[in-house]
Amino acid sequence: MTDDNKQKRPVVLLAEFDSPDSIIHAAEKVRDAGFEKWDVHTPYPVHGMDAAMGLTDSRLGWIVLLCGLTGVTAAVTMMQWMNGYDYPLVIAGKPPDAIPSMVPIMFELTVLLASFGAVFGMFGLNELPKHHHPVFGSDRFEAFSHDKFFVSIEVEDKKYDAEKTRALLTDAHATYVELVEEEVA
Amino acid sequence: MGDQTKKQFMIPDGSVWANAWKMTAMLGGVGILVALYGAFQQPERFAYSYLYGFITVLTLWLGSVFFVLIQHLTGAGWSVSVRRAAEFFVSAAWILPVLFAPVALNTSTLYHTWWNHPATEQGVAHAQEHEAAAEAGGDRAGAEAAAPEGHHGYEGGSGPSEAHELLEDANIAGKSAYLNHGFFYLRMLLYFAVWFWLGSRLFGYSAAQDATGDKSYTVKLQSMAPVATFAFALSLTFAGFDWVMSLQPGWYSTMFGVRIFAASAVTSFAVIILVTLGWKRAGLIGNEINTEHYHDLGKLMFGFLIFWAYISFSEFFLIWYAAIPEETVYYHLRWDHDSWKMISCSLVALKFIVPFYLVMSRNAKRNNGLIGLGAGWILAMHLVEMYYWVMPYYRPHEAVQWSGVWMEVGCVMATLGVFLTVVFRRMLKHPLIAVGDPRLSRALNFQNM
Repeated sequence: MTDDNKQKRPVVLLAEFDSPDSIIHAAEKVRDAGFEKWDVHTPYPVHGMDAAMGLTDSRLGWIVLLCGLTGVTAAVTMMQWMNGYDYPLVIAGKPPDAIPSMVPIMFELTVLLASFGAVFGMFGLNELPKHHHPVFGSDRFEAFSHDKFFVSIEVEDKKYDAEKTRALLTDAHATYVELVEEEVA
Repeated sequence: MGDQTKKQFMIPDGSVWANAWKMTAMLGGVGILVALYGAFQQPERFAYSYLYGFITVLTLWLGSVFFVLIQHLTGAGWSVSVRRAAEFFVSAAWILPVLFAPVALNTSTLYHTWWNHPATEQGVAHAQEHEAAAEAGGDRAGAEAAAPEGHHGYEGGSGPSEAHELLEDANIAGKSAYLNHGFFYLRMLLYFAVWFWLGSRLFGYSAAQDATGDKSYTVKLQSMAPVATFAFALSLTFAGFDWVMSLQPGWYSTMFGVRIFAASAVTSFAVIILVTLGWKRAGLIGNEINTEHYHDLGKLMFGFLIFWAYISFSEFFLIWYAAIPEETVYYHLRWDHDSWKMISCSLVALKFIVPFYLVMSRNAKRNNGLIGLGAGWILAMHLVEMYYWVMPYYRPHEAVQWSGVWMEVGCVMATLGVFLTVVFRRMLKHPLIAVGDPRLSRALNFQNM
């Protein structure tokens, strides 16, 4: 549905690189320039990329811990209330509120909520599901899952400057730089 | 790898590690003196104390074998630079029979429940008679076992307690095909033969590769790994039955072999972390063992810690629920007196909950100080757990005999001191990392994603 009459606006500056070494180098430069809204796209995990991009610890671990603790607390509270108070049943001659009988539930709810926290927390932090992203507007971008390495910088980023940012990426030995546009709705 | 590189990982004369064996030898020497004094003062307690010391060393050795085996079994590349640390421990297999000698000399004390009273067919009939009489009287042996037992002898008055003791006798009689002197010694020889084989091959091939870098050693190690794993698993399980579980031959549990394995595995990860950290601190190893390796060793230690807790609890849980006397008796010995209850609870709190939170975070595993603290903590609690395994049998159904704990301290110093001396002396003769392994570069460049 490309129509020249429709208005377009630039969204992402995309730079293509040939090797893992050059993408690491480029990521370091972009990091040092102080960009915030940018990403790297590679066909496989490149060693040392976390540091090159200046990524700090993910918050996911804390989400998982919190969910796990919620799970174990919920299990103890629920079992104590149901078995110990609301409807006490003597099973196998054990006290109705015996802790050992609750451990499997404590374990299971901990694991269940922690797993939910891990999966859905990951979705949330990655802003998934995301059905479309402007970078897919570039014809060359498909090669990110084949043999090319890309840096994408969003135009929205405060540090973005049409001339300087392009120059930065070219200086970092980008083999190709493209300003990806998006139709204005 | 050239001679230059090889020399780089040898312990130089002036290093702390060059003298480490002297310290452990001194520790062992003092331990042996204390143990000898104890053996003359209280020979019965000595038997149990020494078994405690021996099992502590044995689990440490078994765990190290597991680590090396699993690397060859999976063809792991990441671990090549840390594998040698475990291999040094594995190489000390020959000292195990020597350390076992005092146990072998004390079998009639340790395993008196079956060693001195070979159960006979008459015994079985006798026990069944008593059991029937007790049940007719309206009492059940189970009710007795659920309460703390006041006495533990064959001379007690008639009644459910005696019937229970005799029932245990009958149990043991049924096991006489396995629990008898000849077969016990035969199995002992078999374990040591298997372990000697494991020790000489797992260490020997790897050490031989240092000089030549010959790939065929890697192939040999990988092809022996599957068979060795079976041999290792079976010998570990049955040695556990023979030397620890048969302290209480009437007790049933299907989880005990797994528990020995789990405790051993956790310990070995802790030991590998501590030893390699020690090498690094002394400047013997640089970036060859780095944060990435500690991250992975930490993950394994954390994972096996959870595994240990999981199987220990499931063993307890099923026995608690079923409440069958011949099973619950194991936990009664460790719960009925407050001092034992305290040790039981300390295992839950201090061997599981505290280290669980301590090493859970990625940052903790990637921090040498924290992962070292976690490993040291787990190792210290391993000593407590081994105490919990063995010592309740010294005075069953009684409180912990605190006044004589010096003997256990002496025995564990003796066995650990001798074992570590052998290991540390071996470290002086070989490079600290497997310099001949063709996959070494993979380990050096390894990164966690």
